[in-house]
Amino acid sequence: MNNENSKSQMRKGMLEYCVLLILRHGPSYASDIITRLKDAELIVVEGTLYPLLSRLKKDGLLSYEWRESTQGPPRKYYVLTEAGISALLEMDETWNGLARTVDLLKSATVTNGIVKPE
Amino acid sequence: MKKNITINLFGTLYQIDEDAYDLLKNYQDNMRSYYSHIEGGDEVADDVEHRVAELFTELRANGKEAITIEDVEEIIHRIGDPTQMDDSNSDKRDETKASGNAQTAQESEGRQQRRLFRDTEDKIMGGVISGLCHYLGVENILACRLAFAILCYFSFGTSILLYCLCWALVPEALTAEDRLRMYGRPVNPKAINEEVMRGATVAKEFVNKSSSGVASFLGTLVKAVFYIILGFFGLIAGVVLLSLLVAVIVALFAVPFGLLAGFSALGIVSPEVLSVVTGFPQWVLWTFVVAAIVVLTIPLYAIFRVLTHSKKEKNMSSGVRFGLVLTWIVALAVALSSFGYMTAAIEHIGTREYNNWAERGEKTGNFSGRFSNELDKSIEERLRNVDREKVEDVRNAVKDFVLGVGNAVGDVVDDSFDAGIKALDCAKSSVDSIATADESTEKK
Repeated sequence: MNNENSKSQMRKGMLEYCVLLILRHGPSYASDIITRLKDAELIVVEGTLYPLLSRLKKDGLLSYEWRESTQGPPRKYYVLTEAGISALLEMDETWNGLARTVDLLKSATVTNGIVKPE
Repeated sequence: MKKNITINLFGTLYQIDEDAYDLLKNYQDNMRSYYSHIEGGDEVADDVEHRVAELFTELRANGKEAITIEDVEEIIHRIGDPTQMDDSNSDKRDETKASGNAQTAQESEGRQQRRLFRDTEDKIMGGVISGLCHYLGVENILACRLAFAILCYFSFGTSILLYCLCWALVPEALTAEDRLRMYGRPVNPKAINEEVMRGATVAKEFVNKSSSGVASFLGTLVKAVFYIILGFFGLIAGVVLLSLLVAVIVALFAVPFGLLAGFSALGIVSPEVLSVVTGFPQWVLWTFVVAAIVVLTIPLYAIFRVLTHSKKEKNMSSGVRFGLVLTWIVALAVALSSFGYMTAAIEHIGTREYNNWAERGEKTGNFSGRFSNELDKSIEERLRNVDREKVEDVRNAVKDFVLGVGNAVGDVVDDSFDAGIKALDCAKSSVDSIATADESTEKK
């Protein structure tokens, strides 16, 4: 049970970064974002996306416009703002830093009970 | 075969099964109300609705004509319930909720807010017993039903009347929130969602099971007959008691008006005189009239409300309901006892007092005494101008009337009791004969 919680916590933390990454190539709508997340093998409950997108828009990182679609209801297309782009770059750096930490810890050996990085 | 309806999402029409629609509506209402508290929440609810519409379109594009309840379940599962969806801040909320104190606090709050509903998912006839069990926290509903069946017999069928009363007055648990309150569970969006999903599963099973409509109808019929037979012998006496009650109520209304009418015809009109002649104090009469009015109007009001009550209006709170029932019972007791007192007074006391009054009057030539002064004079005047013979007539008329009404009412009461006792004897002997028949067959 606790494992599930930690795993979903990790995913939740990454979600915002992932969404910004997806949008850096161009505008996209909610369903499409979900599909791409699935393609990228990130398992997430669809519904978590909507409050997140709403918050990002409120914080000024995204903006959206409505477009009609040939089949079905009109769609909201989200796009990164200036603030969004700079936030994305900051997150890139943060992510790289985290990845380094994890790599160091994973490759470290144990000598006399003391963990030493290689 | 399921009923199918057409819904309109953002200008596109979709064909959806009725049960699927109910589930979807519950889900969306839940979502909307949860997010109504959060800024920008409406937008999230709209986004969800858009997503649902897109998924519907996808289903249609894949060749599906009608959206079924399984489709909706899957969609709900994909999109998730509001607590699953909520953003980073709520993670902390969820964690503290999971910690012992907060959860048990919610649970006990749920238990306190428990309300009485009829449980129509778990019903034999009207779901009254099961609903009552949930309200009182009783686990074993079957035991309750058996207890009720036994009670039916011993209460002369009154409990069947009570059951019907409850069936009419207690509301059915319809929405997910209703059901949670019925069980006394805490009402939060997560629980509502779970309940919504559970209800969908139950509805599906029910549809699959009762596909033979005749079988389920017969089943209900058999159950109803079972209860009726159990209460049958008691019911005979119960029906008699009921007719007695009706007779009494009719007499209740007739007697005072009759008395007043009769006496005013004879020129002796005020309640004062009435009470003096018959021997019971004035206030008894007024108490009785008020009580009788209450006894008649409360059930009429209840029936009226049941017939005209629409789902949108709020139900009467259980406190008000309980108060009304209590008032009715008290009024009935007061009416019956004041009525009893009055008839007794009329039959016995009235006669005696009347005779005393007549004797006194004859001896002294003065028909006063217990009457008030103004009345003394008016009666004296009236009688002064009347012959001796006519005075006799008046006296006899008053006497006959007073005694006659008293006797008539007494007869009605006696007759009803006789009929009731005869019915009881009848019932008893038939039960006895069945019992002896059983014994003799066993001995063989």
